[in-house]
Amino acid sequence: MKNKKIIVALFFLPLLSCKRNLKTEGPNLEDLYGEFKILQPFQVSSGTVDFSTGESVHFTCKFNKPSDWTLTITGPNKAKKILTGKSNTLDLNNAVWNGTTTHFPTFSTGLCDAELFVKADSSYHKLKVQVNGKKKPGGQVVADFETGIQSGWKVFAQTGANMSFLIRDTGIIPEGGKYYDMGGAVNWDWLIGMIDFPASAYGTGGFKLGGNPDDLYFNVVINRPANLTNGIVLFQFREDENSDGLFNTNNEDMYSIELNNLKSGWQIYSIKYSELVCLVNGSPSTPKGNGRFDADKLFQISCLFLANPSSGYSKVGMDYIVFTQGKPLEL
Amino acid sequence: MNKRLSNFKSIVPFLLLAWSNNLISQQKKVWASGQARSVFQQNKYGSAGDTVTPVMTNSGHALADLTLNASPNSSTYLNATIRVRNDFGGFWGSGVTFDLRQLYLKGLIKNSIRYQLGDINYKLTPFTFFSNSEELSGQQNKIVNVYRQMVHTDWFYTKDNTWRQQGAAVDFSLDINNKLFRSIDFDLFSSRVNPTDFQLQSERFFYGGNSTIHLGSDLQAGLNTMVLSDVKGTSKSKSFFSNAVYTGNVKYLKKGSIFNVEASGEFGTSKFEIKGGSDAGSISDFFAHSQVSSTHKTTRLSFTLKYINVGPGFRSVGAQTKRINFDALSGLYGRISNAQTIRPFTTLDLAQDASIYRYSFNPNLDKYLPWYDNMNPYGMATPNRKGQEVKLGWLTKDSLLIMKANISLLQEVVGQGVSDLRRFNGVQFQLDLNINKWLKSLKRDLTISMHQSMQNTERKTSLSQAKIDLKSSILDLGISWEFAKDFELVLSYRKFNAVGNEMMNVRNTLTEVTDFENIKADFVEETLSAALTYHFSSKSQIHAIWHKLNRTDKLIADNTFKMNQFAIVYILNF
Repeated sequence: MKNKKIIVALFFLPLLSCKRNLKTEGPNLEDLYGEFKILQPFQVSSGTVDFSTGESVHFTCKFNKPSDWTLTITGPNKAKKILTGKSNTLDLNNAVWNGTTTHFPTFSTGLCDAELFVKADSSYHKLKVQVNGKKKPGGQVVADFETGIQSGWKVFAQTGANMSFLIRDTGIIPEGGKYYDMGGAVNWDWLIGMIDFPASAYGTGGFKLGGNPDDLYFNVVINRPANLTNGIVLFQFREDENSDGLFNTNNEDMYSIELNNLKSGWQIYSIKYSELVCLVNGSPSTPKGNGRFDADKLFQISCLFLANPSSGYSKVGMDYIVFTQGKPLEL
Repeated sequence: MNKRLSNFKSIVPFLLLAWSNNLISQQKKVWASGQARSVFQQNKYGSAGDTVTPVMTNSGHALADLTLNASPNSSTYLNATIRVRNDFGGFWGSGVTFDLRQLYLKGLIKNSIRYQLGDINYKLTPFTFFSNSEELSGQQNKIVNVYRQMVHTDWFYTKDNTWRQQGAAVDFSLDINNKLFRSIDFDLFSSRVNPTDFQLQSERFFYGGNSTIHLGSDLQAGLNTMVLSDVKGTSKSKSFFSNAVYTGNVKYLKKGSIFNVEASGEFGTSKFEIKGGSDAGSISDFFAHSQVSSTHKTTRLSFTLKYINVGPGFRSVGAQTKRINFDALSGLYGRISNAQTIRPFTTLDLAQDASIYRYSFNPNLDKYLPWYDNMNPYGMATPNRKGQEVKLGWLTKDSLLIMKANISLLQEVVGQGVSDLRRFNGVQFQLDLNINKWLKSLKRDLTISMHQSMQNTERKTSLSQAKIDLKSSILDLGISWEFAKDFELVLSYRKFNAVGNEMMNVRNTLTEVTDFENIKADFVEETLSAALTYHFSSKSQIHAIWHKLNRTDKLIADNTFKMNQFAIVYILNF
């Protein structure tokens, strides 16, 4: 019986080592029902940041009860990053800035203003962040237009009125200093002009894509002028499935993405490679080839600029065509 | 054509006879069993000013669970059950469904290792793997329990609180028989909870078991483990969930000449963890529970004293998942009033509406309605509770009287939002009086029953907005009379009322409290019921049941309504 008692006592030994956190659960109700207070002032994790090395900064602030807030960071080149939320804290979970932009151009280096607006007491809180290095967008670049039209690209423009298929250098655009200007009026055809990016223009291995098409994003940055809404940008993706160095329209896949109803100003458009569709005259259709998304066999990307012939002059700016892995492009 | 039909009619009984003969000839190696029921319900609804909700609905169904039992040898058994259901109004097959309801194989290896594969009913302890009974299920309302039993059958809920799972279970015992140990039992289990969708939902498995050492005939000690975990690599998700519970339990039973005494205890820890993703984090805590009970052999009076302490961070998905989904919409008059707002649940819904029940596990602490049970909404494993419970019981030798009383005094372990603690007081009292045991002139059963339970939740604090005061009570009165052989008449009256306020927890994915939601209640619900039952045998009955329910809500006018129900329920087991 004595041995039994020892065994039973051994069973309860672990209880002696149990310690419990007796902290109150949930938000403090006295804070929640009291007057709104800022418990910790608006601060930044670091006064300087170099986004080019992958650094980021986060902002902190603590209120006694949840409130709507807006954090606006403005760069020396008028670039803006806006973060919003409703919470009682700003921290690593909801107020991180990794150098990306909400309103283009992208941030340049220099001193940025960070302003926090707290709706509960309509207060503004300001501080400065020194940016020493710009964010480097990753991915497999198809075109950034910084060094002109590359050999192998094929540009075609109709002989319409006010045609402008050319690279412009304004210095203030989402990425770099130059972009591609596509514009004109063609009253007999939807096609205004186009540009082909064949894989052969990128050397051995072509676009150097592969992997899971669910994790591969096609991205492009497009600017629609505020007063011109009729432009349509159509991208076509031709796959050389049998690797014979040619694209056969009868037995190989061509996928597309049609960007219409473009938003005003510079915007990033991203789509998973696996979400591209087969279009024939703008209507969904069945791919002619194996029906798989073989990004590693991408033969050519074509960008067609279209508009209704009766709609008159149309124009868009295009910049930074890039494939990214795992997530859409962030600039 | 008619001749062909006539021939067909004559062939069917012949085939059935041949089949049954075949079964018999196989010396019960294959046999059939099952259950059938037919239900017809007519419901009437009424509410002042409501011109949108239909006043009357009719529904019904007939179903049969046909079980094929096979025992190809003395150590193997196969069970396959098919449910055939026909909703009334669906003629010539349009409303008929066929489902494979149950399939399992069990057997014995070398006369020592028992196993079961397929559908399994499994439980461990109330803190590890345990299907807690739903709210108000302890109420002894005989009429309502006719429906409750159908819900339990449909959702595989059992009296011993097992969860229905798909997986495998093995148990075996090692006989030692030395001075210290008699034997050690092992019991292992695994089930698949979620299949992967190959995108963001990973495969999720329960696995665990129990080993119990028998130290003589009166003492045993056990270790219990239950882990619910995602399997890495089965989806693209970067977030992986796991919940591990480890407990130890001891049980001592002493049979004396005057008293039987039983003492038991369980303690353990849990860890609830999300690895990766934006919700990453972990919560861990522990619990302790002990109980002493004693029964006086002569008078059959029993006494139980219980102590419990469950930490606020104790998480055990297998023991805290609720049967009722309080976010669900009732299948009967789910929306009411001209604005078609969601109808609040009634006590009748809790007992009879199968559509609000579930058997899937929820890693987050489920929603509950505090007026039905605020003390132990997640059973004994309810986090953030400590206190004691006293139970008294008396069952007279001649079964004239069955009396049970239960007093619970619990409080929180830590405060929520304020340092002041909620205090929970609960009282339950049940009395069943078998009059025919007293008046010997009565040849048939006549039973009067009364059951009352009350719960109070109170938090006294200096902050007026944080004060909590919620009271709820339920009274059941019933009389059951076998007025002729196999004919039974049951009458009952039920009153449920709730008044006060509570601050419900709003939790994040990691089940931490992030906010509070104020709720108020001030309503009374009264149900008058009558049932006439004919018992064909102990296995089959037909009931004619009538309910009249009035709900009066002083806070929300739309939630004041009347519902009448008449039903014919036929149940047959074979």
